[in-house]
Amino acid sequence: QLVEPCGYIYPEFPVVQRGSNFTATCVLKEKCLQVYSVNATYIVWKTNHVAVPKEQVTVINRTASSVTFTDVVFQNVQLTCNILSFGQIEQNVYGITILSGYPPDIPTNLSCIVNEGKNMLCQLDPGRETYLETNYTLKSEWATEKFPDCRTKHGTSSCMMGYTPIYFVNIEVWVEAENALGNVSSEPINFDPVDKVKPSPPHNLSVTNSEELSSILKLAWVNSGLDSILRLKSDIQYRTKDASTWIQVPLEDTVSPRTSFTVQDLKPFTEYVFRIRSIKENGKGYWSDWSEEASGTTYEDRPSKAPSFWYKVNANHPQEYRSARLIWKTLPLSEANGKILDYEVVLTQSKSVSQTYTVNGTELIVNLTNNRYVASLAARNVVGKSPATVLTIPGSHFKASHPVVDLKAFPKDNLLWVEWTPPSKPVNKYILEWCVLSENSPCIPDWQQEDGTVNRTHLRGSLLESKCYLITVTPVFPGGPGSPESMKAYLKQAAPSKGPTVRTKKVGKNEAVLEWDHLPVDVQNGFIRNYSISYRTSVGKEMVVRVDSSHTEYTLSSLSSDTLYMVHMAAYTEEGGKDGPEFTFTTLKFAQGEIEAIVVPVCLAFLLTTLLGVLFCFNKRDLIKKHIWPNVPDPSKSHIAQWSPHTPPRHNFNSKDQMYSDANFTDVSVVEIEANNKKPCPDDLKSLDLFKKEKISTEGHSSGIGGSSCMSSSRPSISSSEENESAQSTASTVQYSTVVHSGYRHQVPSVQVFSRSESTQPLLDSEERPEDLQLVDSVDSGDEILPRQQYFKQSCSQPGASPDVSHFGRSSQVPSGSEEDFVRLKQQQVSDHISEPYGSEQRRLFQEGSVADALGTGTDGQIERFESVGMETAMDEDISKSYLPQTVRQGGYMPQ
Amino acid sequence: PGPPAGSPRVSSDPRADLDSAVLLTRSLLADTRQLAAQMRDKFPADGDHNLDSLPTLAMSAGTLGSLQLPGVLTRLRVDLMSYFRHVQWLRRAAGPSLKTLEPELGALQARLERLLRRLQLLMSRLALPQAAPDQPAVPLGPPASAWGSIRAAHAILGGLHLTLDWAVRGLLLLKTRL
Repeated sequence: QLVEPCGYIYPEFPVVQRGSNFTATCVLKEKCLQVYSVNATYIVWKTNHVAVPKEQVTVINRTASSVTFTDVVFQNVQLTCNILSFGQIEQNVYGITILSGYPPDIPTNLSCIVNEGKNMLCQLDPGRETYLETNYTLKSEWATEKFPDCRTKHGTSSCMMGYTPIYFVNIEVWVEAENALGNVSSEPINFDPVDKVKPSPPHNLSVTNSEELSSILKLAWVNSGLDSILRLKSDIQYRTKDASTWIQVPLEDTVSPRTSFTVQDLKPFTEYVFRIRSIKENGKGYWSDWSEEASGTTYEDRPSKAPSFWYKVNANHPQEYRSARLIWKTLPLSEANGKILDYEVVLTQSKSVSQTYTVNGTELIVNLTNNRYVASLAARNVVGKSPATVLTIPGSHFKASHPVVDLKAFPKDNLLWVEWTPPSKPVNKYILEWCVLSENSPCIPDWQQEDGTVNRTHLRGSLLESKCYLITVTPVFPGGPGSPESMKAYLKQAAPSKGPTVRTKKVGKNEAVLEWDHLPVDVQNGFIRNYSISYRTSVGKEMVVRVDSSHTEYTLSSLSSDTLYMVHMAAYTEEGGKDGPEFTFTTLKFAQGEIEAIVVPVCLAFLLTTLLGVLFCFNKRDLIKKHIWPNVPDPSKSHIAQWSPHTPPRHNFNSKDQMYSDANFTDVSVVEIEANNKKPCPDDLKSLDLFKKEKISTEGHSSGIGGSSCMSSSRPSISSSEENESAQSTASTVQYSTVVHSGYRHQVPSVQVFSRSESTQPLLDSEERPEDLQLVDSVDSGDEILPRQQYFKQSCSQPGASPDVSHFGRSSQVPSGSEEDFVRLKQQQVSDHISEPYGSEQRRLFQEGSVADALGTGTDGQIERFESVGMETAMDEDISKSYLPQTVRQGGYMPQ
Repeated sequence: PGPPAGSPRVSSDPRADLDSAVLLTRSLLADTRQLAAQMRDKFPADGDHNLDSLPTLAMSAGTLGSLQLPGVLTRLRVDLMSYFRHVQWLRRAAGPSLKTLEPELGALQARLERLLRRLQLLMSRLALPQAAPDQPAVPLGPPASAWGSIRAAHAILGGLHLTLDWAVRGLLLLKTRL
């Protein structure tokens, strides 16, 4: 057995109304007070696991403690009373579960229903949630008798009475609600159960049609069992098989109790679905559920309308016959009124001959003559024929006229509408034809017929979006068809599926002509409104140009030259655009003709300059020749004989002669010096030669003239054998001469005079070459002389290409040296000894002179020495008195 | 699925049976521990709760060494049968307050019964004398109050937890000796 608890909590099963206060008391047993050494002050109250604050606890006496909760809101909670045994260990004493909630509300909306064959079921609205276990009890009674109570099941709000209702006697029903916090009763309702009846639905519903009347169907059914004790009225609804909404048969037509009904005004050859329900005749109670549905089909009727009728004539046949294709539409079921068995076509020509065709399909191909025909068409079903459609097929020479005007086509509500203004002539009907325009497939037209009174309709075929439809409207007059009128339309436009491909037609420096093709109709998906051309450089901002849709060409201007441009086009319909492929092109560096415009003037200017230069050169040819290409005197053409033989000898010569004992040799001693100068130094010659080369290379102006002067100066003494001839020819008249140097350019001419010899004695061979003589005299080795002479001659004639040499200037720059040399030379001559030291001295001087004036050539230097020595006497005399046969000008000798 | 039909039960290894018993005991211990925790959470009642009719667990650590398998099995089976009876009583007699734990109590009772069958089987394998004929159990009276049944539940689960804890230890120890 369970050990006795140490105490109890009162109340043990509390149920508290929410929002109210609650107090519980824990009473300890005396025995426990001693066992655990506690009293009421050791009591600890807990709600679930939480200790209750001491403020809510009251110690009543040594064994009792109470706790108070105000404004209780908690739901079920465990309240425990615990003691601290021995002041420390918590020991549970007792516990209770506090329930909280509300007392029940008064039930409302009590209503009862008596389902046929079942007990009465009553429902109520219990009101606010009580959070407590609440019982709802339906009570019912007659005035004299109470019926068994009915308790709702937990969580439900309805209760089925446990007894069979009794009709035609009023009963009173009410509800009593009860829980731990209270009980209430509802207002009673008083009713006759028969007025709460819900009959069972009618059954065995059948539908039959009538061959006599194609617009009626007969219904029959069986009512519920209540029919025997109650008068029931019915409610009938019907609909066509494919419809979703029901059509109500007027209730007043079925108010009387019945088990059959005929529904009228139905469409022929149409399947209908029916359902039916019933209620007490006076409308009290509840409608029964709907019966099971039953269906039936009305009988056929003859077609109500003629089929749409049209024709196509193929004119390609032989001229006598035409192939006509008569076409018509099947009638919709609502107009066919039955199953169409066949079509009857009657072709009448010239009001007399007629031919009848019976066709199962919807077209008839016949060969017609070129005459006018009248075709009539009627559909036939099991009941009869439809009205006939009459169509006039005009003769082959008929000219159609009177088209419809203001034809418009536009989409609206996902339909493609066509609108037109009728022609002035009365119209029987209109034929609308349409087909998808495509480059890939032929135009296969669909068609429909409209009454002559219609001028606005929509196309009834299955149309596709983004397809271009070519719609043709043809008015049909009594005498034949009028002119057709066409236009294009889209059911719904979309952006093109491809963009246009742009290319350049012509590219210039700052502009480019772009061209493109119109988009094929299959990819347009709508009417192209406009194009946009986007172009940019590789780094630049994109520029966009809008172009009207009618264009296929556009010129981009203000482009940068020699720049790569990327361009692409987009075509736009009203629904959007589509970019085409990108195209790149590079603008030209030069515009067309720009190169020619630059090159031609430049060439012309060059040509003109050249011409002017040539002209100038031509005009100044003398000057240019003088500077660039001076005349070099041809030694072979010099004529010493021209000199005047009558010129008297200068006294200075005499003085010279006087001065020097050996006057005759004085003049030619120049040559001797030269010979002496050259003789001892074959080495020197080499160095001279080297030096000469240096000089030539370092100086632009060389000893052309100097050479000439050298030549001229030395000519008397070193003339070759050829010259000797001429010399000899003149030897009879001119014996000796001396050349006197005139100034060259700005230099003071050194003294050099050719003086006429007094002697008339012909020159000896040795005299002609005095240096040889001297050399022969002084040196025995005469074989060394000739080479030196030759060398001298060569060296003098060599520098002919170097003009403008200040030959005399250089001569004047070394006077002192020359004088010294002269003195030494004379001394050596006296001693009749040509020594090596002299040659070396001479070379030394030459070198000095070369150093002093780098302009002088080695050869020139040598010549200077010789000349200055030769002219020694003349230098002391007046130079102006020299015997000069012609004027020596600056720049060279003029030819004599 | 039980052992294959026709297999001689006697020949099976008692050690394996003991293993199986240990496993069952251990899982029942876990269930008991969990249910006791649930009780403490939903019906907090600290302190000792005793029920006179529950078997007393007189076992100490010192006596573990002298345990013998027959004695342990016999004692364990008797004790567990007592707890089984108490759980049955709790489910039947407890008031609405324990309704929320009814599924767990039912599962505990089923497992307890299964372990009892296993112990009985093991004893028969070991040819141990069956437990002394059950003493006619003293019929358990209804709880004195709603709170009385809660306290009884605390006492039963607590005692069962201790018994099973001891049983697991004892059986494991005996298994090593087998």
